[in-house]
Amino acid sequence: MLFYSFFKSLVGKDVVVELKNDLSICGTLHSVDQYLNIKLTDISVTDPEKYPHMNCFIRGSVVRYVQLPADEVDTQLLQDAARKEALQQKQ
Amino acid sequence: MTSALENYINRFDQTINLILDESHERVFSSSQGVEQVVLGLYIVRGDNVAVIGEIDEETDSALDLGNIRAEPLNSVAH
Repeated sequence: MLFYSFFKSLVGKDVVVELKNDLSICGTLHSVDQYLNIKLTDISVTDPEKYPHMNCFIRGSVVRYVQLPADEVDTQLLQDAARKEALQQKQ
Repeated sequence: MTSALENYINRFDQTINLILDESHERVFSSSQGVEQVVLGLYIVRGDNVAVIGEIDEETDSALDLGNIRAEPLNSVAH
């Protein structure tokens, strides 16, 4: 639930999603769901683009990284929240 | 060689299982143009779905499939 809420707070920001097949797609984060499936709008493929698309849906299970601008994330806050969540899950 | 299934998504569910109507497969190659294979009605299990992209009909009809070359994509490594 933590990262679902985290990504919800980033809706509207530009991100680069790196997939497990090494493909990278950059676009604007439109929405995210409980499975961390991602919808992007205004996309472009960061390596040479042969097939332009506008919107895409990316299944959460194939995401390796979501690259974010550093100034959009409060790392301290996120770390603390993650630690709390981990402790709660242990109990 | 890279393949992509395309056309109308009739239905889908929580795990992204899909029903595709009028589907065709586009096989991309680095040495020759795109090969289109007509498949018809398909059910795809959600585990196998990586990305679903919306096709802009205008851009798509302007494509010259015979002249498109594409490097192979890696397979998904979990």
